[in-house]
Amino acid sequence: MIPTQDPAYRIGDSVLPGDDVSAAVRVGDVNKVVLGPGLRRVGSKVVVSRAGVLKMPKHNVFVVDAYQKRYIPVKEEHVVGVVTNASSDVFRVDIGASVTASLSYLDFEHATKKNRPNIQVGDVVYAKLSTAGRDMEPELVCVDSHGKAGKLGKLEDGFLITCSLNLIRKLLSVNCPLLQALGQKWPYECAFGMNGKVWIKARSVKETIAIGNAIYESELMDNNQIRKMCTNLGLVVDAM
Amino acid sequence: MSQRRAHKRNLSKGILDMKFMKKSKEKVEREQQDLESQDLFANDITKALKSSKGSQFIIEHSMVPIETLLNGRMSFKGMNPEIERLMEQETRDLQEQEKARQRLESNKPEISDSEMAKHLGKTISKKFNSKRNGHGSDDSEESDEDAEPESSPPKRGKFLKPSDD
Repeated sequence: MIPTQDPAYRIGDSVLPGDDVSAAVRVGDVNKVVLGPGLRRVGSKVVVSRAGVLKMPKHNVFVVDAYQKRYIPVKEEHVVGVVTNASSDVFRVDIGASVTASLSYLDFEHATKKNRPNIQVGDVVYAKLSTAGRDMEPELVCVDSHGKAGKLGKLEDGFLITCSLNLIRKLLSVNCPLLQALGQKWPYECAFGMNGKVWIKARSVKETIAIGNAIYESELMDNNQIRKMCTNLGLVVDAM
Repeated sequence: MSQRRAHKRNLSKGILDMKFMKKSKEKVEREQQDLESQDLFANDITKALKSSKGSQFIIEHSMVPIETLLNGRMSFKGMNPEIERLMEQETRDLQEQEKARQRLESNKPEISDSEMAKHLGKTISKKFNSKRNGHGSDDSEESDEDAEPESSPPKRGKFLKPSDD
């Protein structure tokens, strides 16, 4: 196939890695343009680096969106990981990326060289990525810059499920009703990692299963369907 | 590059660790990281790359700010009160930021002219009243401080310990 001379890509088009989308991105002729994941600058051109759909989620912000299950670590993102190895000074944490991340035992609240955090292999942690480069192993921390844990740290008990990265983004967007609707039904606690891992803790096994299934099912639903599902789910589970 | 860096004054670690220096500390850390990454990739950054029109692009690797996603750690109906407290605080902060942004956009000052006139009218009139009455009354505590420093304060009341928060 001979590529056309100037394939004018527009928002909503499918694009492939290597495609030049400079024309689409410069449509507004303003001076600042944000290139999100999936787009790369090569010289003065903007080139696609993953297969997907070219989208503009906000004004002058461009991304290539695709169904994705493999996590690519990004600095400052919050992830849920499973500790796979605890050696002398770092924990190895599986965050679903191409390599495991490292988590220093000093990067916990109140941790000192004498006072090690109580973390065993198999524990689940909610952590923030402190470094994430293309050529480097990602590093996690469980404290902010002031040594406070905040929402980060070890996740006790609960249940871990894995889903696509798109579903995580959908559920964490401000206008998604699922988590609030489930929260009105049952008390529960959850941790959504940007890496596609979800940790749920509810009062009973029954409720945990219900919440987990609701999360899986909402992948292909719109907001109204999600609301309807939550009311139905509440009735069904209560009747059991 | 290193010369310039040596000249820049840095705040000491002890100061940065203080409670109220939170914002500055984050800023200093960010600058430090930028410098580090600049040093790391100094060899890869060519002159052409620096001088090209590339500055019109901002590279954002994360979808979190692009889609303004929420923090993934949540708790509902008192399952984990600590997390719920943090969630509440977060939403409050967001609301305040939104308000501040709106105020900035609407170009209205935080305190309107009429409000200022009302407040100042009260304090200033109090000041004049107290002068007229001679230096007898002690009840003008705050208004005295921000007006005329050269006039000696009337009678020092008991030392009031400032509340630390």
